[in-house]
Amino acid sequence: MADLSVFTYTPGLSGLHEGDARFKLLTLLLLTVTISTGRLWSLFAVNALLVTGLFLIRVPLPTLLKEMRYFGAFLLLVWLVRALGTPGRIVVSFGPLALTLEGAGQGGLICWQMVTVLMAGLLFTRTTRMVELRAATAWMLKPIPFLNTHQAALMLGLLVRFIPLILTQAKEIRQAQQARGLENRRSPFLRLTAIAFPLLRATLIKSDRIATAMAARGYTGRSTPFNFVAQTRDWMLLGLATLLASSHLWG
Amino acid sequence: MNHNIHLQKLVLAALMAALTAAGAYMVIPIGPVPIVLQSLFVLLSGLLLGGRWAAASMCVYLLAGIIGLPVFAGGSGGFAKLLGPTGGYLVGFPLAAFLIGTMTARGGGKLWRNLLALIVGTLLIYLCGVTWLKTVLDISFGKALGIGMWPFLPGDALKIAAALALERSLRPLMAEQRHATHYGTWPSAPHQDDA
Repeated sequence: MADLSVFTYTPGLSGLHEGDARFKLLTLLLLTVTISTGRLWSLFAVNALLVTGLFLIRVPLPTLLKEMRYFGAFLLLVWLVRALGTPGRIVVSFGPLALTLEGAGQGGLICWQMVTVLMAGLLFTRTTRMVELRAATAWMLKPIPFLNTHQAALMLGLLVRFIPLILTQAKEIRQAQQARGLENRRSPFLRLTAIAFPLLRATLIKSDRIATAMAARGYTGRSTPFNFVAQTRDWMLLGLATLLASSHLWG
Repeated sequence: MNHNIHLQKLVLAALMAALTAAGAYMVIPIGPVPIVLQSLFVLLSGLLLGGRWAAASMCVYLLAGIIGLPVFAGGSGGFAKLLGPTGGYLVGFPLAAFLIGTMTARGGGKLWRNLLALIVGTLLIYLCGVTWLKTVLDISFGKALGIGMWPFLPGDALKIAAALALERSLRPLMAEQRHATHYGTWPSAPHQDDA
């Protein structure tokens, strides 16, 4: 079970922390487009950009590696499925299964793309306050007709805020159930509901408390306009991301 | 709709979207194909939130993924994921949640109606997912079913059974919350958080 406390906002004074959230959101969107093209040199460039960002905001490496253990296992699985399931030149075979050179290459590329998306998401969530994320999302969704952008942005903000908390709670519930001997129970139904029920019950109670707190603070469905200030570095970041995203068009 | 109830639904819809995102990381190792809790929360969104809010909840989940946050299965994200082989399943989430919510809204919590809605909702996710998988990978329909549906059906049957049981257990708590929102008091002592 993953534990993603590293994905929560952490105050800081870096250029990324102080950057305009609208530009950061657009940059994130453009970077995922670049990553999806799967071109090696584009991936190298995006990685260089992201590693510089991670260095600037000083992500604690031990915590990051510890919390990414789950992804390591998942990436290995993805790589193995690709490496064993793609036809090509056989490197080594295990009975009916054969690990191919082409499969290993494709699997490696997909894993690399997934790690890059994770790094981009990490940089964004760690340097963007919920209020900025909400305002930037509302700004981005404004052109869509018949959509209550404030509500959508609020929901997105709550989602980002609560994923790490839910995962931490799920981990605690699993540990509590393990202590009660859940792993020894044979019924898959029981094993599923023993984790899902307390998690859902806690979520329902939590949602009720949040709604009560918001109503008590006079939430009316409209939020105070957020004053974004774009600086030269924001334009430069967006320009770089646009250049990378459009790179497949010019070579 | 009462403003407070509207707010309560909005927050619950957001948290169900967060649960769906977190569910992608929650794996229960049962049998040869491990069960990922993500689609269980899609089904439960429909049952607990009603059609409109359930669809909104899943759309917010997709929005988080589209802008690049790592909320899709395995920590992936980005608009390209929707165009990839598994994009059809993701698009099926809001449709299924809406269908389940709409079908169960006027059922008065009848078990057979909930069961039918969950089966139809699950099949709708597969209809979107397998059709898209077949198109993107350019494979036969039989092969697409073989890699994108048959291995997961036992797990889905289990999730449907679990969703029915969970909805039954959570309904009284939701009724209490609605009562408290309407009248400002709880009909009984509020529940305490426990793991």
